[in-house]
Amino acid sequence: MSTLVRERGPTIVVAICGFIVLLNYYVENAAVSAVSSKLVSWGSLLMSFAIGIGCISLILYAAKGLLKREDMLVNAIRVIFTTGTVLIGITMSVTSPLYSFISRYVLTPTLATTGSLLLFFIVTAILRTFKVKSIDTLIIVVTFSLVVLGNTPMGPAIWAPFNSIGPWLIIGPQVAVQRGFLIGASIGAMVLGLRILLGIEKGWLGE
Amino acid sequence: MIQNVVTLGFTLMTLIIVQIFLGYASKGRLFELRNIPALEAFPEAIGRCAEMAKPCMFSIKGKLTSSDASSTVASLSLLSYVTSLCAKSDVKLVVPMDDPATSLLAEDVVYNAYLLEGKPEMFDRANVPYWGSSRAHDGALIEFIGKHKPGAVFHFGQYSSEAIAIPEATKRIGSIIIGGTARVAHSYELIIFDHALWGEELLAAGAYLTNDPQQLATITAEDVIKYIALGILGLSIVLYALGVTDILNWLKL
Repeated sequence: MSTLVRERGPTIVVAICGFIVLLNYYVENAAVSAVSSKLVSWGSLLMSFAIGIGCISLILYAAKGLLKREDMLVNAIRVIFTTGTVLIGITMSVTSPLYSFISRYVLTPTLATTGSLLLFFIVTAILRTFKVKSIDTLIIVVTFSLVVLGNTPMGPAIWAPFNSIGPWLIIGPQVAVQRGFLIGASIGAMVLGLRILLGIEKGWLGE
Repeated sequence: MIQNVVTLGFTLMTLIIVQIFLGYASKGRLFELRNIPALEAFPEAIGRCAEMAKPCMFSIKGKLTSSDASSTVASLSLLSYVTSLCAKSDVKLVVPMDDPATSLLAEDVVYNAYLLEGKPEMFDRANVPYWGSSRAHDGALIEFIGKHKPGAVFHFGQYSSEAIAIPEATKRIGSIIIGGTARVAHSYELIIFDHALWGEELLAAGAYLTNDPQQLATITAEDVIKYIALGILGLSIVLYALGVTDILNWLKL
């Protein structure tokens, strides 16, 4: 029994929950809808607990680093800000002025800063990747150049048709390829979902 | 009362076709997949780590609750494979995750993989850390790559724009990076990886690596379903060109 529970238990639970939620999408039934929404809310509850465990894990990881005197500054910031934000959220609520202050004047500028660093990474990526070594890379470089020229004032200033070629490449071939990619990925995701529900895919269990 | 009839019909058709091919597989028929070059590079990457005595880093970016959860689950299958390769080569594997729930699941996957290889002592919970989500996760990855200089970096899942930073940080230390995503909007970032799994290659990776007849049968069924979808698409285009516009409303999934 224990072997059955250990080996088959997770796949049975996943299959039952998955088919109920899937059934709710197609069948308009009060009982199915109630069970499905309850399962989804339980899933949200599990995720919330997982986030709590993640916070604790992060604080313990940083605290261990501090005790070993590794990356003192980074780990100190992790401990102080994670613990502080969690305590403020719990004791003063997430709508309190202090919590809003942290969100607006600490978190948002930090996210914006890390986002702005992307510009330099994109430039180095372009310099490293866009070297013409074959027909494929030639097509990529030419297309990239046309799109950039079409999206900057410089392009139409050099030659007026650049204003329409770049945008056409984005709304024409690019969208067509994206949709083909989307069809393949969507059907692949559907079949992967079926494999998981039928218990055929077991990689996520570590088997 | 049944709703979303067309979607239900397509789903039932998918289920029937998958069951037909599973029937073929149960009778002993073995389907073949084309070669996926990126997956062939996995042992080379781990071998590189073993030769250089450097750790290997495997990261999944994504959640289990979003619409791209399929990428996350497929990436966990790859994590199991990479862990077994690392166990065979005695390479230290660090597995930082973007989502705490995925991190908990990854701990289990990594431990089971080490156990199956007969090396449970190689498992260390500190090597499956959670360093925060989104930009915090990317920043922590860049810091780890710069400080510990892993021999190989694996980065899979649901990329967003900041995913460009990871391959760049990897190339600055002269290492190699293998990635993959099924997210359409950010699939262009894969061109800067050394090896990449595009779209359904990531989703089919589990079947490719295990060579399980049932999984291979579902991949073949997926191709048949794709041809049917393309046939419906072509027929719709022809009918629409002939003036039958109601077909679009009928096919609205």
